Amino acid sequence: MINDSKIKQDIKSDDDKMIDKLLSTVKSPKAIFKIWIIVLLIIIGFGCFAYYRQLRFGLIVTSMRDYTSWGIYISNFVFFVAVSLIGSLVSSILKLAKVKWSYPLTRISEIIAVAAIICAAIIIIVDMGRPDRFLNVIFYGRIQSPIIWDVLVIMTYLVISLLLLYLPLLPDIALCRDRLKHISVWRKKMYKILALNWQNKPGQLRRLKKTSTILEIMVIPVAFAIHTITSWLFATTWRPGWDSTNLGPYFVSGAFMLGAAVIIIAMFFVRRSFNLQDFISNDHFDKMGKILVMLSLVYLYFNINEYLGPAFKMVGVEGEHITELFSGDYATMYWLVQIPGLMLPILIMLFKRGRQPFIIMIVSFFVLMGAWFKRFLIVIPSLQHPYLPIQDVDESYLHYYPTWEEWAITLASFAGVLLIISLLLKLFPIIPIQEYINQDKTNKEQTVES
Amino acid sequence: MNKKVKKGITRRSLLRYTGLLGLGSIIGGKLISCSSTSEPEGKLVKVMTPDGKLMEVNEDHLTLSHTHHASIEDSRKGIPGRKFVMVVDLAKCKNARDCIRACEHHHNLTPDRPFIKVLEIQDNPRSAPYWMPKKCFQCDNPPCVKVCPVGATYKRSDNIVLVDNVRCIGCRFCMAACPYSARVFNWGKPKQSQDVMNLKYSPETSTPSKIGTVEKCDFCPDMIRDKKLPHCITACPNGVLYFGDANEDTVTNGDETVRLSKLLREKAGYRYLEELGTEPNVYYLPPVDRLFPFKDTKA
Amino acid sequence: MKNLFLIQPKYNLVRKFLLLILLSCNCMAFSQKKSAEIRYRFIDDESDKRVAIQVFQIEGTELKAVEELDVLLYVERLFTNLPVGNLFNTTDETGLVEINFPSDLPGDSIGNLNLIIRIEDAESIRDTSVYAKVKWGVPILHDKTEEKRSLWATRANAPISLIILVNSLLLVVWGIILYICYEMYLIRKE
Repeated sequence: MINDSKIKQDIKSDDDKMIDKLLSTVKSPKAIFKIWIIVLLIIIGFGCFAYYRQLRFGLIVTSMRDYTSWGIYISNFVFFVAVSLIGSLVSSILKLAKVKWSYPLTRISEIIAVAAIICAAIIIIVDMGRPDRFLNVIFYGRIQSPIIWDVLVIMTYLVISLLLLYLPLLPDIALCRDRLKHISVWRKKMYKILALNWQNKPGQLRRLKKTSTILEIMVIPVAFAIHTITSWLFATTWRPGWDSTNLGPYFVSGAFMLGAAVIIIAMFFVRRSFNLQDFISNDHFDKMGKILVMLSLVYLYFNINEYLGPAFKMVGVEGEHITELFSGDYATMYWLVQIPGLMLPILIMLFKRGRQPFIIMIVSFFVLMGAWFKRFLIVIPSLQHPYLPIQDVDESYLHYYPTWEEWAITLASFAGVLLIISLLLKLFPIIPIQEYINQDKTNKEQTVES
Repeated sequence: MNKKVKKGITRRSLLRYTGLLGLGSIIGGKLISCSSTSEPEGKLVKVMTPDGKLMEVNEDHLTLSHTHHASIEDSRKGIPGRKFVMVVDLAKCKNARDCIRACEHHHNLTPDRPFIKVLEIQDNPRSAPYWMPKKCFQCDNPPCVKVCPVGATYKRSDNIVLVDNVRCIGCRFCMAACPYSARVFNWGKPKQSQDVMNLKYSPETSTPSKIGTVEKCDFCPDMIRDKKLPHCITACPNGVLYFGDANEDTVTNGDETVRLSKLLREKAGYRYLEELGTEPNVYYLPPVDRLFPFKDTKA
Repeated sequence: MKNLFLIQPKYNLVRKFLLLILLSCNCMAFSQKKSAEIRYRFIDDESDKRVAIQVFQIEGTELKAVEELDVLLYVERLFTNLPVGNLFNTTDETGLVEINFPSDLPGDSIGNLNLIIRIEDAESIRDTSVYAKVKWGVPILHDKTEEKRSLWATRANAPISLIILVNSLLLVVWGIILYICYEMYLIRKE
């Protein structure tokens, strides 16, 4: 019995050590973090200058013209919406399926999801010709328009993701409030307010569990809806490549694959920057890699479906569009996206050697680049093949080479996502502490009993 | 002395008779012409034609354009009881492009933002190419109106689809949705004179243009309210474009007026890309029995 | 005496001048086109509607029938006038011409049509227009398609199914979100 209580005491002090270690990420930032933030701010500043030019001279500073009327702003928007599905993948699907090894990753994925959806909303406003009339969307919104559906579902998903980030964070904020000593006053105050008076009471725990489960269940249909509705922005038009019944599943499966790749990259860098090797092990990379392979295979299946039908028939402008992708102006980009961006990663990750942290991070990076250019290929070539021939127009109308302003704003949006992620990772514990402790406790108790 | 006078009178009087006859006829004619209406001699004003020629016109013959156009509120309601359609006779189009010039002039556009495009179309490799003037088809099932998030583009009871550039947010979804590439966008600040910018905006005139908004052919409702034909119809030298009210079953190209049903039946009128289900209100008459070889019309 | 002699020829001149003017006026008047009297009658034989037009030339108090004259019949339309009948509707010896009238022309809401009977560029008749009204048009009922519910209508006229679907989805999801917020408030209160 004395042994039991001593073991329990050991467990308790172990807990404290664990907590302290996990809370160490929240302590004062190191110099390199500050430099990282400054670099991001510089990139964002550059993007803001480019946007100022766009506000002053109009969208003519971009390379978009009457035929290619949507450009990389829209493809970037689709990309960010796709990234934001990562939240639903890890925080809810894997959690509801009780995949225990994924629990430490839930917060990172939710932070990425929130950052991505915020920047998606911002980039859509950047694409508007008259952002000064944004309120017209609220005053005069037509319920028949797919854009209004997209606005509604993005707002809903943002709120749900924020709640899904915040609620499981409550116990950890309470820990921060209680245990962090040498932090600034405003941070102390922030933790106090955000902790919602959390005292680990059983009633609070019960409510937390209930609301978390509801949110986790609710986020799955909303996540499917957000990317399907975004695909309807294209599927409700008559354009080659867009006029496809396959577009919804194609987009959603691509989003899940992209989400898995992003979480692997995030895992790699977060683990290294915050010294979380004890919590994110090589095993995590291995297992996440298996999930990525599975999702990539599903995406490959939808890819084949998307292109085989039109390529078999070669109907009119659809045929022109397919030719352009397979062997025309966009062939290089297309095959780079499909082979090193999709098929090679699948091959590499099928082997255990390919799922080691560094290698899989590189592979995931290729998947990410492939996914970004895939969205470029979804948006732009279709617009260059309308039913009626393009004649009597200026040379600039026939091609789309994004201008420096567009690249600057795109890079700034990426920097924005990284900035939000970095700040949130620094402000709040990365690994869900309370949960980890509970899990560790149950594991240890099981071993003691056995 | 009498004899002398008599002789003088004979020769002189002959001359006098003929002279007086001439004078009398002239005065008589003038009196007659006085009974018919005569044109008042008004002030002469210098004007520029759509082709860029300068000419002097009697001021009384000039009427201010854009006199009767509805306010933004009223432009959402159509002219009651009308359903406007256009018929394009492809057999007559010779690529004169006067329609484009007239439209550009009256809507204060620049060549990079054409409401009308005249396209060279060849249906298949063996058939002869022809010129196809294409503007907004004012569809009855308009994809552009369906997707507009703020209702800045709308369909009226008289078939016309207009754009309200005070409400447009510049999302360009309508441009992506239109399968006929009928819309143009003001990417930069539209080049227009200060006089144009001082005009009162109405969706019925589509002028002055505003940066960051969408524009398209509007069937000139301001002209229709004055019971005049749209500018492109009257500008066409070959009588290619017919315009009218389908409720009246009558279309005219300025010279000839025909029954719409008869024209479409006898000349096998069709609509472009009918199978898309947009139900356009612009009909095309096939380019058959053309009297000129296509190559002579190339610009 | 001499003075009288001098004046006399001048007086003669003036008289002859006046005579000449009168003569030339008459000449002009004689070569003038005559005004016409147009009489019309509507013959309604169901599907075989005809307009019988008789043209007379006014000669003093008499009316003389004009033959070999081209009469034009138009229906008033919005921008121009729609020609009805053949290319040339020529009067016979009695000045009569019957023009076939189509029975399927749309009219206004009760079927009225405004007709114009016109004589233009005739040799002996002045340009004349006569206006008439006949109820031979097909009444056009103006359908109010724009007030029906459809995807392209205004926001208020969206299809009912869409309104119900979107609103119920939003209500359910945001209802749950509000419930969760309420639960958060309860957590705080504990």
